[in-house]
Amino acid sequence: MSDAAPLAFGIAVPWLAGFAVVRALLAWHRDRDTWVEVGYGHFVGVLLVTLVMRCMNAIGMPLAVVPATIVMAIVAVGGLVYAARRSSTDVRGPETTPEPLALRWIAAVALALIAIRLGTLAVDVLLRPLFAWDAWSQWGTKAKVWSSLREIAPFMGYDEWLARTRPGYTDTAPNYPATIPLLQTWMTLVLGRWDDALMNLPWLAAFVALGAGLYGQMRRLGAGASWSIVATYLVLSLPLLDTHVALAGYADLHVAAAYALAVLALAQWEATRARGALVLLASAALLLPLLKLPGIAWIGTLALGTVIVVFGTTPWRMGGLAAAVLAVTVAIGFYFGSGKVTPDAAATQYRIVESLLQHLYAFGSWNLAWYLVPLTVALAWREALALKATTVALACGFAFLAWTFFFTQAGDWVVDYTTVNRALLHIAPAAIAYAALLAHARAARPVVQTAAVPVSSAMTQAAAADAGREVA
Amino acid sequence: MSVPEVGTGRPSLRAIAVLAWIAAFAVLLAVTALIAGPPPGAGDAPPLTRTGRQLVPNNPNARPQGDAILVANRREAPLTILAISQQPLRTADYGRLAIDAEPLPPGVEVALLWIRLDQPGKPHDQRIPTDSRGVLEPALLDRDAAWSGDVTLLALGVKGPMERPWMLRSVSLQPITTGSVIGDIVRGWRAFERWDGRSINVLFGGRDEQRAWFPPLAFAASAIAALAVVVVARRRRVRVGPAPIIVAFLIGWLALDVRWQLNLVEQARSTVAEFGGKTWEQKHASMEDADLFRFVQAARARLPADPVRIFVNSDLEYFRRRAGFHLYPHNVLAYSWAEPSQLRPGEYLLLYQKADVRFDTAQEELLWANGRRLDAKPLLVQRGAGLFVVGPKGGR
Repeated sequence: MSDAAPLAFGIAVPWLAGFAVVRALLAWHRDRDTWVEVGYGHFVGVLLVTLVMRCMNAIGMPLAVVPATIVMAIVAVGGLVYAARRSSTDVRGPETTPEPLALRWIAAVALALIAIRLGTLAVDVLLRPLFAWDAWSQWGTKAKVWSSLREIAPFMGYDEWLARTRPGYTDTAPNYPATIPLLQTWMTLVLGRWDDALMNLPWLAAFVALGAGLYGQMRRLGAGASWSIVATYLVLSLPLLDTHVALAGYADLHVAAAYALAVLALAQWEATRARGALVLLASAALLLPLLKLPGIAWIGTLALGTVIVVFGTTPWRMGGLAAAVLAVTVAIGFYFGSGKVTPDAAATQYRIVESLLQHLYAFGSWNLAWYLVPLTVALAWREALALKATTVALACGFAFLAWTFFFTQAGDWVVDYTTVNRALLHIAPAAIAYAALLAHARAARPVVQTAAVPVSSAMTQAAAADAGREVA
Repeated sequence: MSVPEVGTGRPSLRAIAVLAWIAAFAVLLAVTALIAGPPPGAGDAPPLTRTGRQLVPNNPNARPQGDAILVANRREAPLTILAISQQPLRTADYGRLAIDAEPLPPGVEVALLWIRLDQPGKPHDQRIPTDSRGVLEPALLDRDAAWSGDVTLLALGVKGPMERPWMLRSVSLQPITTGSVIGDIVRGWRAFERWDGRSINVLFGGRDEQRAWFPPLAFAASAIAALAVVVVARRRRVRVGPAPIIVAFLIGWLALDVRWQLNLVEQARSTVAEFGGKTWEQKHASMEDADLFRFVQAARARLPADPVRIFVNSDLEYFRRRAGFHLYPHNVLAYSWAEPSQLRPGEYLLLYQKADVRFDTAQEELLWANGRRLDAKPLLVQRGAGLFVVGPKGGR
């Protein structure tokens, strides 16, 4: 129990600083939403604490808890004071009609299941040392060195290490971004000793924060409380996502969470043009390339979505942007597949398809996610078109995955059951939240078009506005 | 939203969604069992049942106790064979093995063994699955290609030294039925999927190999339930609201999630049993690389406090990388390097299960099978593992 206080401190300090930053940024645009601030705030806090540590290292200071805490406390106080001075009120979507009793019951069950899930995952996070291969061979290695030396010692490739041209360490992924190991370093410094189980508590915090952020954004987009809880449950109950919490130590959970929150912020910005949404989009998206190299591709899809919101209203512009999407996707594919592009034989492609179908539709990694996402898009295609920037961003993400699976070495990782699901995990929470949003809007679509549409009004108004501009 | 059905006395569309899902799932499961099981009519022989006392052991590890048999494998004799039948029987008549016994002691496994008439010198076996408490589950044999033709010997193999005796009450070989195939499918879904090296990449949803996977059946039941809701709504001349359709698909999701949640609860229990109340070092000393961890801890005690450059090697990539992980923050190279001349005097070397390297105590040199040599002084040596510091002559 003596570890409880430092662990709580290690989680709370960055989270509070991130919360204050998001609150301040929203207040700047006269916006406020506690759920969203809690959810997005956690990930902004992760960004902050690791940036502070990078700055300390850059100026030659040893990594230490007290100076980093002082900086984050200043940020937290500054953010909260600024937000308090800007009068703003909680933003919600338009009031919804009362939700059906059945949905409310389902939401209650979902909430209970989330609570049980949190408890069972906490056991593994708190007790199990680093278990999964990459967690101890390429992420935890750096955390162990940096927390022990109290500096961000460089990591390099094997050949460079053997050549002894400069001091430094080596492991299997020396070029990977430092954010995840720095987060573990922070927890280790706070704890005061190396413990490769307890240092992973931020993974459980990320699970909670993702839930809070999803719920808050669903509410801002007009969904009622019950449907927002159900949508959050659908994401948090994904078996592979839960596994990445329990067997903590990989970056994929954080990538998935940041991307999902960014996509929902994009959807909100597209539907409402609220500047607060743009702030949330930026805060989540900035983390992506700092977590893992494919984060560059994910932030690319969000950038395209952003461009479409700003410019993509006429067919010509949409066509041009679609071409740009294609070009950028292919370029990113080539970038990541440099030297790995393998236009395989049809037999290999068949094996990839066969394996992919097993992973998506037969095995237990995804529940019914990959059945329901396309089904929902097909049934709610009008709503999908109303959210064209979000739709294109996600479509671009799937195109990126398809490219890597079918035209690079990653095809082998589909067939041998390794990376395929981890790659899908990056986009799965975003896709499910998007589908939940479409389902909600589709359910609220009026029979008579002139009737009042409280729930999806933002989306339909956006579509109508686009149509009006095109006519003009 | 749907037009409310007021005072009709009929089940609501949401209730129909639930009932239709259950009915559809049951029918789909039965149809799948018919398709995935043996052809109809196969296996109509009477069950072949033996009490524990009737089994014939091959050694004194086993002795009758009442109608049962008590097996107590010793460390020096960790295998007991219990003959079920030495009379010829047709495999086509049977396909299900049920064993009534106590939960197995930890580390012990049971397999059905048989010898076919057409392959007299060749034993075949199929391991009998257990649940998370070690209770033997019924096993279906029809998917084992070796279970064919006539069998001349049928036996149970009980392998592994036991910390306590194990009681087996009866064994029954039965014809396979659609019901037993359904049972096998459901047991495949319920099988505890413990964390292993693959879990971070893929979850199978029960056993790795299954006759039928749960998600497609759950989705098909949801789709049928949704259709049923639409049909009933049309007959009642009411518009279908979103809620019944959503309920139809959420039930499928919930069914899958309850299975997953039960697995997580079981996993949490297992994790607490494995790591609860232990320090960081004690946890690692109980993991699968415990021997390596203890050796590396001992090696670290012989190394300087400040980080040193240390080369690690092993024939097994897992041990090489784990040793590297345990050695950080020393400056480790856990890559499979092959050239001893890359080591400089004063640097360190840790070898673990490296078959092609031996230490020449007379010359104080490490010798590679390909003739390479490294001047090295041993700091810690145990069977199959050693820590060395490179001497002034280095490698050649």
